[in-house]
Amino acid sequence: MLLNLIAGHDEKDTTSSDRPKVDYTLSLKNDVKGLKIGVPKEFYGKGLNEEVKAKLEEAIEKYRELGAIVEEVSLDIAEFSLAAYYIVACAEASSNLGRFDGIRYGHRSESAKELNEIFIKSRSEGFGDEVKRRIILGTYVLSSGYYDAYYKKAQQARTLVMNKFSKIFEDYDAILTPTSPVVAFNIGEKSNNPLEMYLADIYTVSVNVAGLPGISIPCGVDKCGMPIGMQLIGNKFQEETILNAAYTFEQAIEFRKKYKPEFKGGAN
Amino acid sequence: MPREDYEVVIGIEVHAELSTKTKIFCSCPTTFGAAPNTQVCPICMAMPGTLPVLNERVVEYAVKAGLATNCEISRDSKNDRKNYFYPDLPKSYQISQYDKPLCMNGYVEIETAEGKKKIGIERIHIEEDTGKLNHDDFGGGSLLDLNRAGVPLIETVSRPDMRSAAEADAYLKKLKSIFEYIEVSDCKMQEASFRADINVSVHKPGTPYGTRTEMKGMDSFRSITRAIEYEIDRQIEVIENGGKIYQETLRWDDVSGKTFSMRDKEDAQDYRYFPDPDLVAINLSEEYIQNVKESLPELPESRKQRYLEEYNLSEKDANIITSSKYLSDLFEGAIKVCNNPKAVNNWIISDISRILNETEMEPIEIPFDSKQLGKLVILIDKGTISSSIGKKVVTELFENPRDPEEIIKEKGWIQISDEGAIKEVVIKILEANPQSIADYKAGKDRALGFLVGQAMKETKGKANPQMLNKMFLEELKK
Ligand SMILES: [Zn+2]
Repeated sequence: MLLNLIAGHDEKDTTSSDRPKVDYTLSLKNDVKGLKIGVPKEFYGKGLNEEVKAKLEEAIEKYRELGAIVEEVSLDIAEFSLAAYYIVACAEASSNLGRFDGIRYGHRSESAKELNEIFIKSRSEGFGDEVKRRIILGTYVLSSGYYDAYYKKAQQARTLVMNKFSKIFEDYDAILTPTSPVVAFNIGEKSNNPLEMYLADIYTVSVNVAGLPGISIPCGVDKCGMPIGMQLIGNKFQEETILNAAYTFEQAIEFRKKYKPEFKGGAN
Repeated sequence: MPREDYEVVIGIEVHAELSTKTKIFCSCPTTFGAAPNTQVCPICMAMPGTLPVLNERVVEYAVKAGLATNCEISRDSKNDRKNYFYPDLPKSYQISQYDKPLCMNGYVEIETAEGKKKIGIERIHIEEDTGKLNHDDFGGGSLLDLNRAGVPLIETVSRPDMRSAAEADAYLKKLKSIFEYIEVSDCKMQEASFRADINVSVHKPGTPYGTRTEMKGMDSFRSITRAIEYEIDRQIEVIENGGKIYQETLRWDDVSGKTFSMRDKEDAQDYRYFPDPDLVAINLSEEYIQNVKESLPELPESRKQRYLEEYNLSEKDANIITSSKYLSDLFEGAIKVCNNPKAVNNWIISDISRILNETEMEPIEIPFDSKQLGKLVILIDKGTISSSIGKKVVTELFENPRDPEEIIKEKGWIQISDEGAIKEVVIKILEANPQSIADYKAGKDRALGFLVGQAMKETKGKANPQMLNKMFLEELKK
């Protein structure tokens, strides 16, 4: 429903597509017979939590039962995607957040006495650690002398990732992956280890990097009752295919009926 | 000073504000002089979450400028962010173009003492102007006016091809006149819509180029020439005294006639350019470029050629008139009214140019129109006023422009062509100057001129000079 509303060209955003709009609610056919799903083996290897892996395997079986053709494919882009994503995202963030300089936007330091102090103190006082980390990272990758090694390379990696995806979509309608290698962490749990936190995004950022539609839905819960997510990735502008695949799966496992959200606490 | 021992190298970056109705990334108006912060919106105020939309007119104008300066037009261009912190830059980045400018590798031709010379143009790119900081007379701080933020600019970067202040002056005037002709910028220097950053270096012939200094935001031809001359002398003096020139930004002070260091050389900025992810690539088709090419109006060079052939203007006069689109339009418009190109040319070259010079006015500011100038010429041609009264009318046109016929009626400047009235004056002057009559009869022709002059004085310049002459001769023969 939301997608139906936000889809279509926005004349105030020139990067938005001007393709004709479709009614996505009509795509929910509750039928995946003959649908070709690729399962990239690289997404099921090292670093993936066993419980998550088991649930994903159940999901693959369920799709086969429903008449889909599920086959293993090779898509060795996860690490590139993650690196490219964080370089581009931090670069953009460092520039986008420039406007919070204490002049028009953001906090203005009380103790600043001259212009450069307004900039430096306001931003030092106003931003939190994670934001600062990303600004510093982003500033670094855009600096002259490092631009080619990082930002430019990240853009090249994006092209590579896109090409690999389009190769798979020549033969498959959708790609099935875990949403995250682990279930959701507790609040504050990973703040001291940002790298591990960034790694949790390893499966989802590739769709952002490649500019593809993706949908994440629960496919079960772990022993603590935390939901486990699976992700379906579709080809460019093929939202209807993955919406139908996700909807059909959700109907089949009756997730809403069987799993009542009930938080049991404790670490995973 | 051994100036002849040195070669001067000058390169210029010109910022010209485009005369589009709206800003480059939003639909705010661009009119100059509005009350502070009345021509702003969330986009040009950089509110978080807003997105820019490129004004297609800006691309069109830049392509026009490129075509008129013999540039190659890029089929595949883009916008980049130039990141730096300054209070007049609300987004903390300026949307500009870095490695793929719209136009590249052009040139303009200038006249020098040694003949025609091509000055290379490295690139022309589009970018947004910044806001303006105004000193607050009451609070002692600075107040920010964002009316100018997002006004479209084209930056034209020359190659370091100029060798003197005169060449720099000729290049700037040529560029300004081209932009005026193709109507992409009004080039009003006192509104800073045409301003130049001047790079100057000196070196001895046969040695590598010297280190250059840059004078930013120069907006008057007079100051530019003075500043370049000063800077050349200063650099030579430093070098001759065994010193070193540092690459730095200088500020020209018109009052003291000196340059001052503005920024330390150590904080060389790293602008962290990268493609703006909020904007799409600018892809231009052959057809688009061809259409823009066909829409270009007649350029100064072609108008000049026409003036030489059709109107028999001298090369010098044709250069002066075509140096400005406004002068050239005034010339052509007035001819349409009076059909006397020679007379219109004379008025523009002599009195109008003189007044512009004296008042430091630019042709675009001429307050009267071509019809009024044409009518003035008709009044003289018909003998309604003399040309000396014509001069007064021109001055009046500058002060309080209106129909010249009205002016002369109001001021009582209509020429006396009535025979009786003129005869009366002639007799009066002859009676008062018997000595002149004697001189004339003794063969001194100059006496006649004196008498006519006296009669003109008597009539406050209103007597018809041909009739005066004729009548004096008749009386003197008696
Ligand atoms: Zn605006």
